[in-house]
Amino acid sequence: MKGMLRILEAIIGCVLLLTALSFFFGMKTTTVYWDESKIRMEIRDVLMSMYASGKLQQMIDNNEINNIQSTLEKIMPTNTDFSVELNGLPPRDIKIACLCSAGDADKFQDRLRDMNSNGINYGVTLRTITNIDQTNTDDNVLIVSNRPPTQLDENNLNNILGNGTGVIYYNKLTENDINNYPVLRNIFNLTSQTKESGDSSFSNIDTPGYPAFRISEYFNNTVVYIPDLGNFYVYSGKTTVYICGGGAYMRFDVNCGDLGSNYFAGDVLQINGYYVKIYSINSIHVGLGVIDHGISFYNYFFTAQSAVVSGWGSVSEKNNAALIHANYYKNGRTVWINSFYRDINVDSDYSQLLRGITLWATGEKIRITQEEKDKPGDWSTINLLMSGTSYSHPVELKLIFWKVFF
Amino acid sequence: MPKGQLQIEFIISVAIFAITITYVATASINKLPYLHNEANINQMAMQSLQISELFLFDEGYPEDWDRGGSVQRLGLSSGNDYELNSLKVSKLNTMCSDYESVKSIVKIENVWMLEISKLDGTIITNCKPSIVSNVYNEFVLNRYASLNGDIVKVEVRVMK
Repeated sequence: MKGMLRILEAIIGCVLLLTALSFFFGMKTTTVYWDESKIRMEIRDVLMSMYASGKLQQMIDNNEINNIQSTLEKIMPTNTDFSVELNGLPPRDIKIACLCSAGDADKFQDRLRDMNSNGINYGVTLRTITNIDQTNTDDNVLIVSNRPPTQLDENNLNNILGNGTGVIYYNKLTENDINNYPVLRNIFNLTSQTKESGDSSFSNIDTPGYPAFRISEYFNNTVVYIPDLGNFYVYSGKTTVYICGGGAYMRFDVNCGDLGSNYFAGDVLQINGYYVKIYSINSIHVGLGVIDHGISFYNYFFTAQSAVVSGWGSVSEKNNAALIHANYYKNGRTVWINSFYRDINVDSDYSQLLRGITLWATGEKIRITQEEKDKPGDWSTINLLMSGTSYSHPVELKLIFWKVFF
Repeated sequence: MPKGQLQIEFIISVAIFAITITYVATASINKLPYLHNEANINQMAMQSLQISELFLFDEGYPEDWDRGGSVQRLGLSSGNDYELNSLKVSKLNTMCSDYESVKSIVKIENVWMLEISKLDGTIITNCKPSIVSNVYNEFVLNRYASLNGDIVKVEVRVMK
């Protein structure tokens, strides 16, 4: 019996010993994840080097976005795959699906042709559809023009906006429309009020996160081409001036030799009550001529009636009534506009506004990686915020990468 | 029980204890090489990061060390982030003919190599000892920077 107790003591001693030393069995170094850190560092280095050398801005400005992809492909480890997005700039080739009549489609086509904003040219491909479910996933914008809210199927719009396609809805809406069709409240974020009318001006232009900030900026920097006259930034009635000094400056009086104000390119002055900036003076024509001008303080007016309450999404408003109302919804953007465009000439400031709205509604996102890629659940992101030469606001390059095998 | 004989229970107790001690000792000893290797890799990784940061982001001291005189700290930066100074890169390439003197300035104990090349593989600068043994453990870190408007790869190897 005494011997058995010794064995029991030995077993207890061993258990105690193992328990005490088990600390050393689990001993390991701190995991540093060098592999993932190296990849992140390399990708960040490449992006920063491209930015430091000016190549990244050059590629973006010259629309050589495939070069960004090919440069990254050279350095990315073979066991990783990636996709790249450029946020803050509209795609150069904008695809539009238009649920509208053939006549309206022609008018949209005319107003969006030869679009240039901030010095960048944009091409537009517009096709008509007969139902919103014909919108493709690669369409950047869906325009629904002059159709009753019954044709706005909420489920379809959910899918379309989920894919990142923007929706522009042109229609005069009554209080009853907004109250009776939930899609207008749920997706376009509209609420009704008694109809107001008058000159509405840009609103919410001082807050960068609000749609009006960007749309008004596009409006201000988007050129409208007027046949025989040239490119105009804002055109509201012809501004007749007298070109003097071989096209170097302009005056409002006939006699260029009189003492008075000479205005040069870059000057800001008042014309018909608006503050405008002279972008260039027609140097070919000397004598009676016109000038390219754009607004400088964003306080531009549009006339219409509206039954929509203004809010953070208002782009243009008067007496708390919104003439244009925008919204962020899922991965896309929506804009509702009163139907003011149809009887206005192509060379109007309304065309300029349509261009600004269309550029914003694209989501201002360019997918650089050409093919659609399905990424796994475990992935990493590197963002590079940068300023550019031909865009006035920061642009974000977003690179998502993941391991395809370990 | 006759003198000099042990009880069977005592023998079993000692055996159990001896087996336990042996197990604990073996398990601990087997772990040591792995821990040592991991520590080495971490040390090499840290040193390669230090070297790459030094060459990429530091201008060196004095800042115009590429113009001659004594160099106290090497650095290839032009002063702007991710932008290398071509004169400093060229000067380093010349200095690397005497690897040991460069190594003594960098003050990293382990053997290290630095190679700057274009993305098409053209080597611009190669700084390495005259004899490199294949038995070294090594850690390779690739960094990228801009040199004369081109993107170049800066490869740092630390060996132990």
